[in-house]
Amino acid sequence: MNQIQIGRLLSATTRQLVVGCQVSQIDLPAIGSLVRINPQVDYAIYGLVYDLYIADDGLVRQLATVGEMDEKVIADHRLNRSVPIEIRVLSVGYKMAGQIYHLLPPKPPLGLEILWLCSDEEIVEFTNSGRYGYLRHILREQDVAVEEVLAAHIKLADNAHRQKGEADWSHKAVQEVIVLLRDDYAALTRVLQSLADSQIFS
Amino acid sequence: MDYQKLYPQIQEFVFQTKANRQQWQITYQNCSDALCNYSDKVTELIQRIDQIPVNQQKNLRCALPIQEQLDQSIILPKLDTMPTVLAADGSQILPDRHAPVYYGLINVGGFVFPGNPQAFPQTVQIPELIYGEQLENFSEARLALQRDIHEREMLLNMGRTIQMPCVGLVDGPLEIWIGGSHSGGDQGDYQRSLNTYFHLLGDLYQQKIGLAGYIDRPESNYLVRLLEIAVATPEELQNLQRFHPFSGVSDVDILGALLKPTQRSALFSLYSQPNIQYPTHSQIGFFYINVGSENHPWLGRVEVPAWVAQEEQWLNLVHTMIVHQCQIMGKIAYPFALHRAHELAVVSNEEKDQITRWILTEMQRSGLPISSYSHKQELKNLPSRREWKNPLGGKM
Repeated sequence: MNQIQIGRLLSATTRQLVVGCQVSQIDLPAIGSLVRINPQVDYAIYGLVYDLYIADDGLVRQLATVGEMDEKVIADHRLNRSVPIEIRVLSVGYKMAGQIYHLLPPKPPLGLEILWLCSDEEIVEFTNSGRYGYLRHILREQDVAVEEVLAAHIKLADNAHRQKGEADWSHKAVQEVIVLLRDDYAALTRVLQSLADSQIFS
Repeated sequence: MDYQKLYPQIQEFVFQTKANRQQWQITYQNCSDALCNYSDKVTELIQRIDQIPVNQQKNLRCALPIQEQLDQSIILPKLDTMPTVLAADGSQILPDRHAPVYYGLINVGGFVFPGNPQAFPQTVQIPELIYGEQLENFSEARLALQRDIHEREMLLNMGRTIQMPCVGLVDGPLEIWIGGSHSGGDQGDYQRSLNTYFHLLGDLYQQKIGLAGYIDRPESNYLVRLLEIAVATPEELQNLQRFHPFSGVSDVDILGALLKPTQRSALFSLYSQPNIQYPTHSQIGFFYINVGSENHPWLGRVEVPAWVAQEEQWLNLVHTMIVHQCQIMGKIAYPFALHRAHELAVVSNEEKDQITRWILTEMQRSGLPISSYSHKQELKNLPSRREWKNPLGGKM
């Protein structure tokens, strides 16, 4: 299995992870991607990417004011300057002794652990475990564009499931979202609108 | 700070500056007139410098015209290919006797901005810890001298692997010079460093690597000093050290109105006693360059060794390269490659603290006794009232 390394952990709580990577990284994960950290051999933490932050500094601001820019200046900024992209990740579950749990990890990973992008096989394995319990970790977040992250995730996961011949996974996932948001009509409407915009079911 | 006591002094400072400004306008006009009158008298001026008594030449620093008229503006040459720019800049941690451990550090940053449009810029960083015997007879000037040597070494090393043409760029003058008199051991160290520098210049020359020092917002008055010599009577030449009719006017003042954006001034040689000691191929020349815009002229001084100054191709490369590098930065015109080298070299306070902690940890691991800050420094490090946090919480 080809593993795609995203970056290294900068800080973490049991609910959220912040990972830094170089601006030049071409394999940046999209919002909603399932990612993984392996703090120990038999312990993996899963998370969903919910935001990417590209830091600036004085030089970037100055260069941005210049009309025509030399390509080498852009390349230098992306390759050589230590201005990382911050990837923010919601913890959505963990795997211990071969068993996947849709619970918050018992302990956060330590600094500089590597963040990996999950393969289609891993996405299918994680999302098929249990009964969509990990979705509640997304839905309870206050400072996250929940509906956008959810729609992006379901689309990515649906694609992985379809590769395995499971065409109805996304329908079941949306049913679960409806159940979880049954008492919050406004939130449910926003989520359904985002899912409609993502054209998963078209 | 007692601002009430300070405020009248600020008012007086501004009043004096305003009064001086009126006198300055007159001096400036006289200086500009002299430039106009002597602009094409290059041979006459060179002869005049030769007439200066030897005892007056000792501390003289002025522009020595070479060929071009003094007020000449040279337009930006059109080049088919840009040179690769090698920039090096250094910074240092000064040894602090109040710190827990006595050490210094020189960190040199190098930046390669390729002329080839397909190639990517490269960076280099070389830190060097300075300790023990190296710190005997330590002075700030010695550390600065070492830093300057390291910068030039880095240019040479980077240039050896780069396809021609390439130009090395440093921040500040090319002339390595320490103020004050040098005596005993200091004199020996200075001479050794100077010899190393001469060797480096020779190597750069042999390797056909161009070299330039860029001085942002120069305050020099080399051309103005030449004009003072031009207007001096034979009697005034006898006491030149005290003859400063254009005092307060700088070269930038008189050339700022002449040079259009991207233009350079005439090329001059630097007349100074230290420069005479330099190998012939490396004697320093300079020109001014307007890297600003139509409404906001901004002049820099560019120093080049003779091997660059005497070759029109080299001179054109340096002229074009400086303009291009400054244009990358937009309105804050300064060579991009030099700024990047500075970014790589600079050692922040956090990094300095980290290095100190690292040394202390290693010393502790080796069973060495650990010192602490001096009491004076420890008291200075106490948090100020604004930074102090109430351990019990609540507002102060």
